[in-house]
Amino acid sequence: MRFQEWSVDDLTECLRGDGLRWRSGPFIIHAIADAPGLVEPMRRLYAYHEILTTPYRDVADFHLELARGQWLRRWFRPTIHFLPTGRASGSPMAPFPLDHALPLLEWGQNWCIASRANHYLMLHAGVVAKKGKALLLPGTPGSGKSTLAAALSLSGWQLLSDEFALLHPYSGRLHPLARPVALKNESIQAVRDFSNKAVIGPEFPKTRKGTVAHLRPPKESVDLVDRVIDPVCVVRPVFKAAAPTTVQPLPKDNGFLILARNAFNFEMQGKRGFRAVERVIGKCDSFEMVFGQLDEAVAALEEIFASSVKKDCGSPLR
Amino acid sequence: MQSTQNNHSNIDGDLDPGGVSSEADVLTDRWSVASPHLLHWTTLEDAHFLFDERSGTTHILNDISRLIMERLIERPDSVMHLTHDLFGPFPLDLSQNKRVDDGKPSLGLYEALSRVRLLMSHLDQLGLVHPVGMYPTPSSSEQAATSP
Repeated sequence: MRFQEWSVDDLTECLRGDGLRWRSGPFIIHAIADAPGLVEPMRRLYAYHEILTTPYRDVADFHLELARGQWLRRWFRPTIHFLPTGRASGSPMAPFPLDHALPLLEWGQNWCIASRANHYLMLHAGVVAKKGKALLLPGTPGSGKSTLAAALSLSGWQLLSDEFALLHPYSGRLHPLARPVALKNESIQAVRDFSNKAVIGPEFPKTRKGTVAHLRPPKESVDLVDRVIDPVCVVRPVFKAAAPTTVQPLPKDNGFLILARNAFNFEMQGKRGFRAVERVIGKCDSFEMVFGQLDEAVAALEEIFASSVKKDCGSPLR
Repeated sequence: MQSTQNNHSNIDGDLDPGGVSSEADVLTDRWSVASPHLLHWTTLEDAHFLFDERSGTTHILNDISRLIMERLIERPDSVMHLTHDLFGPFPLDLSQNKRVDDGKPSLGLYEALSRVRLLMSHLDQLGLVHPVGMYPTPSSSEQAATSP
């Protein structure tokens, strides 16, 4: 059963008791949480995610707990703490205000994936796909990759991730991780303006990244969780307010640097990470896109991608 | 070429040479590549990427650095010999008849030597090459042959 088929009361009881298990891309997440205000938006944003019951009751890749602050912090400016199990030294993150449990849950999952999913080469990139081919959007925070991934997912593209590109180092394919898209500050309104189909959760002001809200991933993207996809195109987005959209092809050596620098675990992967980046850049076109308007950027990406797919399909080296 | 992250370095000929030992040593010492089987290469357009498995570091090399590395993987060699071999056929060297009467190298060869020496010092600093001693001199060979 999916989240949307469970009642808020049942989800709350489960989260406070043995916890909930659900699939998030290739991972099974197990979460226990005691946080008022978490369940309702979680139910809306994870509406299409499958809740795992028997026979998955004792299986999970990541176990995490959101626990309320103790003693004085239970009543005075109450806090919520992220506690991944299996970690001896307690929480790796500072506590959040109690009413910020949802961003904490999302960042907590990011922490789990970034620190433990080292069987993938993890790229700091948005990933979307169409026609069985993927477009990588590597970039630093603020470059616009999440906003673009959100807008493209609302335009019929499959959302693989807005934050983590999970590249299998041997196959060179990308694994979907369709989770709620974290939108920040001005991008929240930009995505609302872009599409009236956008289902966006509550806004959380004054987080470490400003105001944050989450976009629900499309049902089709959540359902395609097992479909791994070949990348065909790499575009580094550069957001500049009010700038006209310009696209520039990048030489392959620049493309290599962009991917390697945006990999969370490039050094840890060693030789296989090096070869994985070489492989992706070897077969993908690389571009840099400066943009200031979301609709213009989406149109430009459609054009770049169509040209790359056409080139890829015509290549005798496939 | 640019580099902004610690684990990616850029080898180019116009950087500060840093901790080079005496000039004579650097020119005449033979150099070798450390653990070549742990080095992995790829060339993308004009840049040579070298991944060093021992350090987990990726280096970006220019053409000359790559040539030097390839030569040193084949066999240890000195800066002097490498320069002569690499730049010998080029117009700015001894074959251009620029050698002066007092026996000093021509300007072209001197520049080439400086460049190769600089590159070697960078490669040394990155732990990619290391000195393996001078070529055996005739006198030392004779001594070795006659010693009990």
